[in-house]
Amino acid sequence: MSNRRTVIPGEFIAEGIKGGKNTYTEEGKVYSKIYGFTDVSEDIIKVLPNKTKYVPKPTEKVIGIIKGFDFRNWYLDINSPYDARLPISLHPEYIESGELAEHLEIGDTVIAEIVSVGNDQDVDVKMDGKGLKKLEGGKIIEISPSKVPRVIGKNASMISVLKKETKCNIYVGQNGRVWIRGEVDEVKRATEAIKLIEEKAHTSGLTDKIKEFLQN
Amino acid sequence: MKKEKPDSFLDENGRRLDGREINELRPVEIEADVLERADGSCHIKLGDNKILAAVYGPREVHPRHLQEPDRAIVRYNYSMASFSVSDRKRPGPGRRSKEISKVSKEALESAIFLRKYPKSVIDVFIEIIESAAGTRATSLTAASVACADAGIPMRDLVASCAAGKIDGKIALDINELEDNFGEADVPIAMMPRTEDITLLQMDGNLTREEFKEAVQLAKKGCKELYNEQKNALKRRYER
Repeated sequence: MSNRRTVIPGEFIAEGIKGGKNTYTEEGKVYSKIYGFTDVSEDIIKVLPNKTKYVPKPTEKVIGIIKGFDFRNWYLDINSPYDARLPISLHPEYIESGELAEHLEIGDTVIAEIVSVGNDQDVDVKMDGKGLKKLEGGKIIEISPSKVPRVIGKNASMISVLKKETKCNIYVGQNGRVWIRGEVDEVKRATEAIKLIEEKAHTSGLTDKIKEFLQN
Repeated sequence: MKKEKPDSFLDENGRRLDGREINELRPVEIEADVLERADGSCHIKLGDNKILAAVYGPREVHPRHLQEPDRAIVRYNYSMASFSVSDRKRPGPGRRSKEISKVSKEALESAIFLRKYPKSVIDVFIEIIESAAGTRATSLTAASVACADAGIPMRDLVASCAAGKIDGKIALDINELEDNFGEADVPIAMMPRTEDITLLQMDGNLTREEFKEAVQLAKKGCKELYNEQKNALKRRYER
């Protein structure tokens, strides 16, 4: 990762190259929009954020917390600037309108899939699909959504190390929420490991480091 | 503890009461990401000033009617702790803190790409822990570091600093005594790369020439602060 450099908003990053994500161009010069790392690939330069809010994208699976409901919909906090809507029609069971609280109550956590993101930032999610369910027990920790790929690792290498070493059930939502269930001490160890990954996400050889951390 | 007006603000060598040169900032320390629960945060010390800034968001706007359909809004809350000044400050918003919140909000807003997050709000909370003149400028400096730390897209950081007039001379970053008994105070905020000014206020009387000199001097101060802001943010990931 030698071509990576920490940049701050408004910092000049390059000239004569196309500015990608999180950059803006003025008079042919590319400046960073956010606080993060530069990433050069061929003829484009972009900035990867250090911390960011989750921006929902269709087909991504997220961990949501029920915030409220009306007669036909639940409203979920998905760690994004906008709440998501879960209509009863997209719940796997048949539910009479007005009986929503019997299925999901305020404070319940679920794995949901983003169906659509409207122009006016309306987010719809569904729960009928493979692996989409209500989460029972366990604990939720939050990390920056930009660090999610690191926690999963290449071909899910990191997450399988975590699961194997701690014998916990772990699910990582794309919105930066991580659900862990297992023995109390093991959950604690897994939490520490995930926090470590988040902190050291910009360094290389992380999977081995985490393996070592968990084995000692 | 009340302080008396000194006979003179400058000694025979042109140094100020606290030993600074006329164009020198107070010692400054900036640390980013100090609060666990906030999305972005910053602690700044400038001389005796101690200020905490916390940024939450972008997040849903409550109450809903404040929402803007095409852009994010910024809420800036400047608040002084009751123990931050020598006489107890009555807690809660007052005339002064409301004014400061308003002008600072506008100064910060112009640096943020608000259209990236329509219908949302960016909440900025400023808590003055210890106050020693120049808190509105210093808190803006901290707020912009906290915003950057929260991952909010911005055109540039905002650095802010004041210049004033003491013993007939224009001085940078005036301290508490110089503020209370000096002749003028000009806080400015700017985006250092383009030198666009986003906040400009003046208290006291200055001639046209003095005013220009004060703005030039404050700009120089902003640039020095900008370097500190930059270092504070870069330091976080260079361990």
